[in-house]
Amino acid sequence: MRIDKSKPIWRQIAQEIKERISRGEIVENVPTVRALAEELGVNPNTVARAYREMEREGILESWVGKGTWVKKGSRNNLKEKMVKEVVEKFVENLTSMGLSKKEIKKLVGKIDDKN
Amino acid sequence: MIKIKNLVKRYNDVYAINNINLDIEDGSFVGLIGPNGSGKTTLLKLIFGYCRPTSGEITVDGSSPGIELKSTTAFYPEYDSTYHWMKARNLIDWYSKFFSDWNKEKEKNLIEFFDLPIHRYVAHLSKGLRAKLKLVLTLSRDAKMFLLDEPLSGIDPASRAHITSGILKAYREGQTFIFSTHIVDDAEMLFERTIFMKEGNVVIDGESDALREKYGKSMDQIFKEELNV
Repeated sequence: MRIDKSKPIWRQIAQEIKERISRGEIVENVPTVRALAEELGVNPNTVARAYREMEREGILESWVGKGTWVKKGSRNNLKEKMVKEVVEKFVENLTSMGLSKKEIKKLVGKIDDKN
Repeated sequence: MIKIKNLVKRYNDVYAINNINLDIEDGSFVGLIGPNGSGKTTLLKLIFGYCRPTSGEITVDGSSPGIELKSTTAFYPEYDSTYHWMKARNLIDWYSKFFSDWNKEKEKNLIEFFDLPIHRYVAHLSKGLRAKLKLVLTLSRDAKMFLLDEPLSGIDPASRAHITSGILKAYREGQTFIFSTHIVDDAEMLFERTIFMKEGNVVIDGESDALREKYGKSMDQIFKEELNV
């Protein structure tokens, strides 16, 4: 992952972990705070903050001595949310090009589902 | 906990520290950033008790820095503090005897990580390797506080990342680190809090991610663009 140092780092870490979860790359336990901090070259407390915020959002769970893991159902929730965001962006882009919702629907309907 | 109130340090008619007020919590990893001559080294020396304030107050855990602090604080000086006539191995062994908090395991890991040729004479080590040796001497302790004065100064760009990852590996949550530097880009992701100094004053101070949010800039960009140095 590439970190943009001009934006809050903990947010970028949280975003990256969310993407890894939704792609199914992280299924159960997330990397330990120490391991991820050393992988990214960031302060461990920054990683811990990202995990803490994701716990608050209900994506992760943790228990002392057991580490931090992905809460059941998180992958589907995250995937749903990300798909929704992509669709919203897609519609927004096309509307700004002058297409109506009706035309967009028609276009999507034409998508060939054979490949 | 470090408490600094109205701190002034004057050398003859030069104010190295103008008027500083700061609190540094235990367990924070702080970047102390400023150009040469901005007072970073003087501030670290005052915290460590190497010199006394002209006026104002500085306390570490409630008492003014004294001899007791040396047993719980590790100081990395910018100057070459090694002995060139010794072999690196002997220097490390000799140095370790002064500290009851010496951690042999950390020493071994750091030597390995830095790939330090410990059987050579210090005189035969390059400047970069001597810096790494100095880091082994500083970071092998289980000290409560680490004051690192310009550990990236004089290090070629290719080796800087190696130095910062060594420091990151040695760092344990709960320890206080104050890391002074005028080379910001390679080190800024280690800093939870960044304090910018200029002409003996603190000009910007905050949680690093909060500063990134506020300015939309990296610590390196803030240093170059907001400090007008």
